Amino acid sequence: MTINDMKTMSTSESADLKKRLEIERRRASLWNLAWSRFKKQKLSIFGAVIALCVIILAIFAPILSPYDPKEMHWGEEMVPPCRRFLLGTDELGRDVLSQIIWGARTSLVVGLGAVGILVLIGVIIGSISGYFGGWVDELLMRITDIMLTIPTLFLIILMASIFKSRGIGIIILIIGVTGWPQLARITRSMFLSIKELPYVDAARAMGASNLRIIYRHIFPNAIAPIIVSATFRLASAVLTEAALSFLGLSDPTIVSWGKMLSVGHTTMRYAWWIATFPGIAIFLTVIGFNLLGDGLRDALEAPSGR
Amino acid sequence: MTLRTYVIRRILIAIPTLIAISAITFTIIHLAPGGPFQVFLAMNPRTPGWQIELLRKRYGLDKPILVQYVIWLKMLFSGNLGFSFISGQPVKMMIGSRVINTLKLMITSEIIALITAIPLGVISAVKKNSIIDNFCRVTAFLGVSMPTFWFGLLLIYLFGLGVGPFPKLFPIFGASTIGKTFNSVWEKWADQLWHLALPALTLGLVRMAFITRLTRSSVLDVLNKDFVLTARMKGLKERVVIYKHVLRNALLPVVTTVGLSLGFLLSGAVLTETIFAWPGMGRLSVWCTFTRDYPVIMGITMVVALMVVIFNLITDISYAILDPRIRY
Repeated sequence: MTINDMKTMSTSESADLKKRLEIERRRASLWNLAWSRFKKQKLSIFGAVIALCVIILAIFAPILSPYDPKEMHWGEEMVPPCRRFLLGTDELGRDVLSQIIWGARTSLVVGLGAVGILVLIGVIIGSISGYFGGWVDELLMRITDIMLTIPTLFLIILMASIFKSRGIGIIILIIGVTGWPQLARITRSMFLSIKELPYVDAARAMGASNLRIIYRHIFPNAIAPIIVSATFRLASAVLTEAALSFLGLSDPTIVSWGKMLSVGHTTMRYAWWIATFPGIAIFLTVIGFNLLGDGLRDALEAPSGR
Repeated sequence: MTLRTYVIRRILIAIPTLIAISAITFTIIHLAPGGPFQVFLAMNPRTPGWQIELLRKRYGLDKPILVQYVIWLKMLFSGNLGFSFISGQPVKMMIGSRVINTLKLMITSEIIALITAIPLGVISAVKKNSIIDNFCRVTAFLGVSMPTFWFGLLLIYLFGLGVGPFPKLFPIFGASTIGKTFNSVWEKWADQLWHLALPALTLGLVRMAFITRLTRSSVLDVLNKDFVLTARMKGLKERVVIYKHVLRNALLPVVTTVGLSLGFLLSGAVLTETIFAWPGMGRLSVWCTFTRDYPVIMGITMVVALMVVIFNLITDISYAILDPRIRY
């Protein structure tokens, strides 16, 4: 439909159509626009590629890894990188490359699981706080502030001391439960600004319930900063998981980069490759997700001028 | 309200906060399945049940949890933190020397971070998009993404082991040379600084990266303000504009964020202390988690909470001093 067609219509009809077209155009273009902005930044693409590589490694670990990561090759302990073992073997004769590939799976599962939990908690607390305001807001934000000043690793260690066995699920839970304050803050500030907009009043006037307003009208418009923040949290969850396994506070039976580092650092004098490669893996993964987060922020948040 | 009454009020608020934290921690660790003697039992599987019961009675673990907490609280107010279940040493003694070591590490690394990061951040912002700026931004970005423990291991490999072409420059464990007698205080201090070098650098790097990014964005923010334009229009020298007008305003948010995130230095300290076998609180906290040494866990929690409260207070006070507009 062109502008000329519109002119021939009655004014109220045409205004209505214009509005609908405008809504359609915007909906289609928010993500398109974001993508076109995103792909212009070379560094963000680089970050996205790294993130994609880690995801591929994690999904196809059984196919990609040359050996079983737990298989001990007798008589081939601490072999430096060579053609048979591309990144060498550790002190028990396990292939470092295979362990790194399987470690990607652990890092990603813990990262995504923990971020899922912390986004859920953060969004619920932030939206209640921002939407209802008043004493509920005061109370929740006080708790959030306290959580923000507590040194996270101490809290995590304290929580780890509660559980007798520390399976991967417990680690996910602990990182998720301690990591939500930043997300709560961001969600709250988004809700504070959006709830004043006219369309929220309109929805309320039409009799929409609070829950419906929160999840149908406000939340979809607050999602961009939440995605960005979740990406950064993913990077830090990967770091925290590595730190926990490095300290020996994680599941001792799974293959993880942090554990490889803690094993490798005792033999560093003789075998530099055992600790170096998992370190590079952690470093690259964190860089990847941080760059991705930077790119997403520039792509998603710039247009609205918030 | 004057600054003094504000400080007094804040200290008075801190006391119930600390008690609440202690109550929550106490409940959590005591409700957890498996007591502290689980570890003991695992090491000596043939210990008869009555001996474990005797041990529980001796440490008061057979009493109701509320009674146990009141006993602990009474001890706390008389300045006693109890005795370790595992080593039998007084907790106060175990933590005391380690707190000082941890503080030494934290303060040194924070000083390293601040004296490098603030100038870097300011230069980076003032010369936006120059080579220096790009260099600072890349370094800061890498620093933020660097796993602390891996950076520590790199430093050990490069400067501590004497492997291959790398010289053995610094010690890689402990806080001082054991069994050495010093001729003077200076020599002792030099020895301690020598031991501090690598751990402080490790812990300082992440902070440096963080503060550089913070300072840069804060200075950029202020540079766009109208009063900077006015100052420039008055014909002031650029140096005067930066030092007198921009810096003072730009450093305010830096001070708050740095102060409020000081607690996170403690998280980094846990890892750094583990790598460098630094006899500090972080390593102790990991250790007592393994052995479920309740009194030590409680003691460390209280010290950490106290430190966080003090950091926050210092932050607020320095904020008030730096910004005369703020009155409490």
